[in-house]
Amino acid sequence: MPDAKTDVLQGTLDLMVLKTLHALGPLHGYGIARRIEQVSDNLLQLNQGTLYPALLRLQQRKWITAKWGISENNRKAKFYNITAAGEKQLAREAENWERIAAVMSRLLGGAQEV
Amino acid sequence: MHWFHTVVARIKGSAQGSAAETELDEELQAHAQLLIEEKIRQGMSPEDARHQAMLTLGNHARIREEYRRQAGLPFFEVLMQDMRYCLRTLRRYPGFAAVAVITLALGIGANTAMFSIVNGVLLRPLPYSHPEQLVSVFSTFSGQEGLESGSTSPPDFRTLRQRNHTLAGLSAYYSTGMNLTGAAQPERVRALIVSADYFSTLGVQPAMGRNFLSTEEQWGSHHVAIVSNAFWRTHFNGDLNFSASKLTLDGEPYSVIGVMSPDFYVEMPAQVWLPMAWKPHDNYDSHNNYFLSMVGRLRPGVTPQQMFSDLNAIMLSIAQQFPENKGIGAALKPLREVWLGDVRPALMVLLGAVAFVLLIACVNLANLLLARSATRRKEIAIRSALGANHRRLLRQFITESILLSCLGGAVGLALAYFSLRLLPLAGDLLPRIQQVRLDGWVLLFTAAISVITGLLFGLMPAFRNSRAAGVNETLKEGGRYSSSASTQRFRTALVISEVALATVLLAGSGLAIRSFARLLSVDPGFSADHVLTFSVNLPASYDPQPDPLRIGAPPRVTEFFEQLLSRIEQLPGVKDAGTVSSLPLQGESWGKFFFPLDRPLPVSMDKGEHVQYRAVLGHYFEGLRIRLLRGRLLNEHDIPNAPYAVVINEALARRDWPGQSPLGKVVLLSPPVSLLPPGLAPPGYKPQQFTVVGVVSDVHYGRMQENALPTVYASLLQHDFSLSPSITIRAAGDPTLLVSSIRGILAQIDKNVPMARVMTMNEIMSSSVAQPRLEAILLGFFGSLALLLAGIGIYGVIAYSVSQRTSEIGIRMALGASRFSVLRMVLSQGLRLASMGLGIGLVLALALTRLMSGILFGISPTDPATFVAILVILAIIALLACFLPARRATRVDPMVALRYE
Repeated sequence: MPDAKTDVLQGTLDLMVLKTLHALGPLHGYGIARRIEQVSDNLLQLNQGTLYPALLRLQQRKWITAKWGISENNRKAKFYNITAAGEKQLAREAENWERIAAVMSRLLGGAQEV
Repeated sequence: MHWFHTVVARIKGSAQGSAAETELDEELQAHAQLLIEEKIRQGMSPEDARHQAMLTLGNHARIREEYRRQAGLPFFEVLMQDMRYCLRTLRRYPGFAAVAVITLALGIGANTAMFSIVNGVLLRPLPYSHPEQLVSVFSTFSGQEGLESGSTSPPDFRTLRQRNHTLAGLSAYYSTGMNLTGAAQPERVRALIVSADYFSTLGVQPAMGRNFLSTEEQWGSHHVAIVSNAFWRTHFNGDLNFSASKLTLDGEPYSVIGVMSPDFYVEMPAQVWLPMAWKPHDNYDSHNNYFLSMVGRLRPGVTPQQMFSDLNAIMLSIAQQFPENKGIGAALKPLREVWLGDVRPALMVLLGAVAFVLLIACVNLANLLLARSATRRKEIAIRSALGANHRRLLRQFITESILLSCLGGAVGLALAYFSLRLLPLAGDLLPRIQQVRLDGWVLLFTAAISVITGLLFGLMPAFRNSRAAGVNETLKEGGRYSSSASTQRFRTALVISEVALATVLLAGSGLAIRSFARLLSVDPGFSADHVLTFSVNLPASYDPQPDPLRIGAPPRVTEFFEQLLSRIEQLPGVKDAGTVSSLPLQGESWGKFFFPLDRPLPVSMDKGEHVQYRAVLGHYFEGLRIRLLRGRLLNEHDIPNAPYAVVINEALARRDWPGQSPLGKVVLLSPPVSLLPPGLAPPGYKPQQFTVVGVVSDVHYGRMQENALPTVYASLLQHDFSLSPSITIRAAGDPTLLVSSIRGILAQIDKNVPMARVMTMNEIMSSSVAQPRLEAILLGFFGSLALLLAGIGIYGVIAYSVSQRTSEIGIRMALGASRFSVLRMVLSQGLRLASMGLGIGLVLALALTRLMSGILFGISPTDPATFVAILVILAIIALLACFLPARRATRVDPMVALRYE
């Protein structure tokens, strides 16, 4: 498995999940996937199943919690909620991400000017 | 902290097993349902919606697998799974498992045992504080070879201790036997007479009681003793109130002031330690007697060079004041080197030998695994058809070999444990033997070599086996399989290296055995059979007024020996009884100046010749069957008033009178007045003039490995004598039967003199060669192990190749090849392998056996006879190993062989 690529994706996916739960409160996996696709204007097409190992990872780190509940179509579904530690991690990661994004855009923009 | 939560969660997940996956399935189910509903809302048919939902969600199995990997501890889960699988396989092939585990256990066990010895004896620091600061200090005597590490004299020691600027402490000691009386039986105890700062220099304290005080070096206040833990247990029953106890040693009372701890170790073991104090004008306390060992502690920051020049400057100033000290200097060596330097070469050679055994075991195991790969071919093909990739298979094979080697290691550890319990049989061959045990370091070592061994023998076969070659063909072949040419080549290379390794090891053991045989064939110069020996120690009261001018022993001593010897000779079954100042093979001990008067005297004392001196009485020569070569032996006519007579040994006759008869030559055993510094000779001093009356064969007083030194014998009635000589008795039958009647005689003459160190001369002979014998036995054992393993290796490869070539052989025979030519074909294949291995092994052995030169006697490390012998032995083993499969090849029935195709 090409590790480098997965790592970048994982980190990004983690951040997206945390941000979604931060913005919308408790959601099930389907909801999270839908939200991410909507926000990205369907530019990002997830293999939605890959969300679940990521959700497990976030739970293991105690950044989110999970609880069984009833979904809008009256089915049993697991609802995920962000924790205080998750909020902290989100703030840290978001800042980090913005810094990198700023540097990257400056770097790429500068390159165009030359 | 999140990694910690993760680890905890993963351990929980791992323990939970499949429950989490059921939950995942439910969750995915719900997710899929929501997706489908969404697609239907968008106007898709239920069929299409279901299909699309599945695509969006992704491969279910893959998600599950990834989820599982995230949930638990995949590394350990796979490991456990592989181990369970391995154990199942091993149970299915118990023969293979047993051979592998036993081979490994022998290899790893031998290494573990050897390492724990090396660890206990050599690696572990000496049990003192800052042992690296401790040095042995010696006297050097210019112009005297073999005395680079000589002893010192009490006045020299005291001056060095007082004037040096480089030592934090300097102490001196000498070992002696003393008679302990007061109990029913007198007993001989080993005493170490030490300067008061002995224990503090080493940095140890008695476990109970107190250390010696510096005032206890004064004559008169020296009646104090520190005892060993073992002595305290046996003699005071471990009584805590020992300080009230008194010991009577050589007739003098000593109060016990301390008890050492049980693990206190010194190279000179003792039961009691007494402070060193001298009576005023004691001859021992003079520049005439050099018998003290010294141990010192360097001041922090001082280099050995600084200490060397410091001490030698002091020795020079002593020589200016006392001319008889001319040419005496000081030298030093790390204490560790002095105590353990002797055994290091032997231990290193043995450690090397067991490493070779393990290497050979590894090669054998690798070979075994490759041979097995043929039978496992199908299993591998099925597994890779079911999706196991190359890495996964590799991992399983390596797990398997490490599991095998760890099983072998565990059994090996048990083997090592039991073989180390045999160590006490080695007696005092090894210093610090009580420090040898299986401790944490040894366990770590065993674990490490087990894993390394597993990798060593498992890696190559694993790479080869895991390469999934043509799944289709393998499965279609239906179980018949011939190993690829490259695997067969690899196995051949393994056997060649195995033979090479065995050659090296066998060369080592051959050399050790031949060197030992050489040692046994050395003529000791006497005949040991039927000879009993013991030593006596006469208290100082036998010689109350030592007088340098007196000729011969004082009357009480003379009377004691004459009575003892004549009464022993009256016992039935006794042939000859005699006494000698020290026995053969116990070390060269008593040196004297030697001035033949048939040539000019040397210009100064330090140019004088030296000889070894032995004082004898009775029938010493007759008892030991020391051969008379010329003239006569000393006899009952050599009494104080008779002309002074000496007998010399052949080495002395050869040195001083080559090509002529020494009989009738006149010699001095003490310096003539003209050579003595003015004022040193006592008034009335006149050296005795001895006439050489006989020449006897050379007797080895030192080690059997060394040449006998020039030696002079005189009767103790006519010259210097020893208060602690040995008695030798030749019996008609078993000499040990005489012990109790001799003890009775001794008790009747003086009940305070114990019969000490009772040994037959044969025991002395055998213990003098105990170390080389042990080396020869161990190396011989390792060598035979190597031979056995190499034989099995050759057999395995040839047998396999014969079974592979059955049809070819069948065709050959059908076409008219004779049985003989088939036999020759198979044998020559095996012998080609063996001879390549032998060739490589020879080159290696010639390079490596040089490392053994330190433990060899009388042969060179490249001794041609040994090398030829091991070549022949290995060739025979190789022939045998090939012969069995070759004979099977000749029995191939062409019809049967061809029908297999």
